[in-house]
Amino acid sequence: MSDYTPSAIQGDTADYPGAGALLQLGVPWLASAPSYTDLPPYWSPRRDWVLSQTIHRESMWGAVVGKVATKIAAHSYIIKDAEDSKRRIGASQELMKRADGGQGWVQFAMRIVQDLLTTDNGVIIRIRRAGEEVQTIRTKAARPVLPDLLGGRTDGPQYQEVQIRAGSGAGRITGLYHLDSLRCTRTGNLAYPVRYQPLQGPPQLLRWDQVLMYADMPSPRAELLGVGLCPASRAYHKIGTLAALEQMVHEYTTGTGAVKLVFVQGILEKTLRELIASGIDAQQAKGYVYYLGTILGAIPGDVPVQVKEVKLKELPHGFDPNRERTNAYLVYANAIGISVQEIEPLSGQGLGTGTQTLVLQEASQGIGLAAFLKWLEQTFADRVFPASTTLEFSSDTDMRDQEAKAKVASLRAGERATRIQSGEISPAMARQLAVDSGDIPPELVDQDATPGGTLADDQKPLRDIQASPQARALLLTEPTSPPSGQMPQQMIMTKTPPPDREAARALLEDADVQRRAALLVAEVRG
Amino acid sequence: MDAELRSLLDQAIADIDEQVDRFDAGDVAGFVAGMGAVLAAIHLAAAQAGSTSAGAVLPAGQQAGAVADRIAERELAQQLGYLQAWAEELQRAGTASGVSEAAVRARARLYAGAIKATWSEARYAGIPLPYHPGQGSECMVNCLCNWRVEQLEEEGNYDAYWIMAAAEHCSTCPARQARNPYQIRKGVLL
Repeated sequence: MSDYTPSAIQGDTADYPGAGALLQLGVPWLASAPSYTDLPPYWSPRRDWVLSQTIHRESMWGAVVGKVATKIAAHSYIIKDAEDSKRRIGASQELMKRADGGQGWVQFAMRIVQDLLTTDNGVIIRIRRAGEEVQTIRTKAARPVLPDLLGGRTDGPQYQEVQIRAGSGAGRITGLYHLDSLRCTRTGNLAYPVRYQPLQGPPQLLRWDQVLMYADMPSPRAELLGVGLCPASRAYHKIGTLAALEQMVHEYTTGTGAVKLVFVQGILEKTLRELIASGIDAQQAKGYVYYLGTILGAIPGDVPVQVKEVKLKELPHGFDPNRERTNAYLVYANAIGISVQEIEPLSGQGLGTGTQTLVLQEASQGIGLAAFLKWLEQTFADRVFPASTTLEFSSDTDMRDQEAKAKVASLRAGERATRIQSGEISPAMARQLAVDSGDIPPELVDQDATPGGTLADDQKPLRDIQASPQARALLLTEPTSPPSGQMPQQMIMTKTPPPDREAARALLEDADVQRRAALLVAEVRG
Repeated sequence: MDAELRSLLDQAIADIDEQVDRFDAGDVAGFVAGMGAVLAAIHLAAAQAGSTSAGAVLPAGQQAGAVADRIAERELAQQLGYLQAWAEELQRAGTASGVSEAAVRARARLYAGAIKATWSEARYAGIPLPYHPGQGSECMVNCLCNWRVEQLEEEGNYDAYWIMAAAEHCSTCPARQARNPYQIRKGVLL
């Protein structure tokens, strides 16, 4: 059972993982601000259904989501183990590679990123452990709130059958699976925080150690149980606007949809229809698909034809579709947390904007997707991988980061070298300082004189690290004094002359030498 | 220091002194030849004494005599290299301002200290110790440290300790002692 609770206040968590959480969410739903779009108010499962469909409604939004999902899925990752255990690294990598029942990390990542971007309920990842057994149990369903208030039902609690996967929470993790966020309900119960409705069969209650949950921008409202506000939610107004704009353009260009009513006075409707029909015949005869051409019709009589138009829909005066699209792309980019140039590449602008791109891109590292990647790294290291194993994603800016880090490390090494030369510190002290700075691994210092200290968010607490045989061999070659040329003159060693094996062999074979040696041994042994 | 090694060292110094007594600045080659023979004898004696001393650990399947010969040859070869370099210095000094007997004797006696490494190597030839007294340390042949090896229950397992004598030490030997124990498991230094 987790030691962590979502709230310090008793009563903020449900006593049982019933379906009543949905009704708890009904209260904020009723009290939420009015929406100017067709999006259901915040929050309900119906809202997530609508949000998940946005990628089908507006093509640029769909493309952006696809692009981001691909980008995240294509991220390289590095698995490290503090004790250099190849077995743990291999097993952890295997978990990643066989995610989603063997479909692989890329497919798994693309699914979870789509849920991240298009559902407020967020990402739900199932952790499967060895030894899980299916059990069917009865659990209390929540009592309806509204009927009680209206003086309705007074009978006892309702029960329903659900399935759980019983098994040890310490069991070996055998698989990671994406769960459809639209089928997951947050229960508010600490032991079983998620209820999942599979395609077939009864609902499944997932234990806290069997599930990972992440929502973008989780709501601080207690009754929302951690539901977030996804990028689709934040950008929905623009998505809807752009979708309508593109729909209007589509109707204008294809001649579908009614844009205006035209009243013709002076000719019969029958005449009008015959004119249109002849135009269509002419179109088909020419093999045209969309263009109808000009329909010429002669009408007899001297009655003047009058036409009155009533526009059903049109764009407002001064409306600039390009500016509207540009604004929408900026909203999409900010909502997701990417650079707007990833949606609308630079074209025709000056060279100076290249630097701006770099600055914007680097600025975006601190928001949106960066937080999700950090959560993946920390959560996998903490709850999926072994204690000494960590996960790290690389990024486009990795080379620049490495270059910057190398420069700083080089500056530190130079500073230590200067201090050794001046006699302020010894090489051993310098190595200790290098370990403290992270410039060399702690295994390469035999005894860390300053253990503990600081811990970065991507590190795990140091245990009693035992140096590997290879590290110990390196330890034995560590210098204990500055290299020659930096020492006082009298301490400089003379250059080692080459050994003379041939002469040595000849001398040792000399009978006199052998006699003298035997005599010496006999003398010392009495 | 082992008593036997101490005695051997004293004998080596005595033999070297005898050779220095015959030094003639005009016959450096003769002096070097004599020194070479002395060095060969003392290194061979040190290797034989070390490989046959109580507590010696030899490589599996090897005789003490063969081990001693091999180690003596290697160490002597190195000392002869130093001797040759010294001979060249003596040649140059002899034709310039002359050399003092005291300087020659002091320099010659340094060669005696090298038998400590030979003796230690021969004694623990079957254990992969990283260095021996006088090797790679600032004190060089003046090193007074030695190894103490404890054999553990399982074959091929030893714990080795770098022991410093009660004397003034360079910075290398305390660092070596700080790494005690040196663990050898199944014949491999960890």
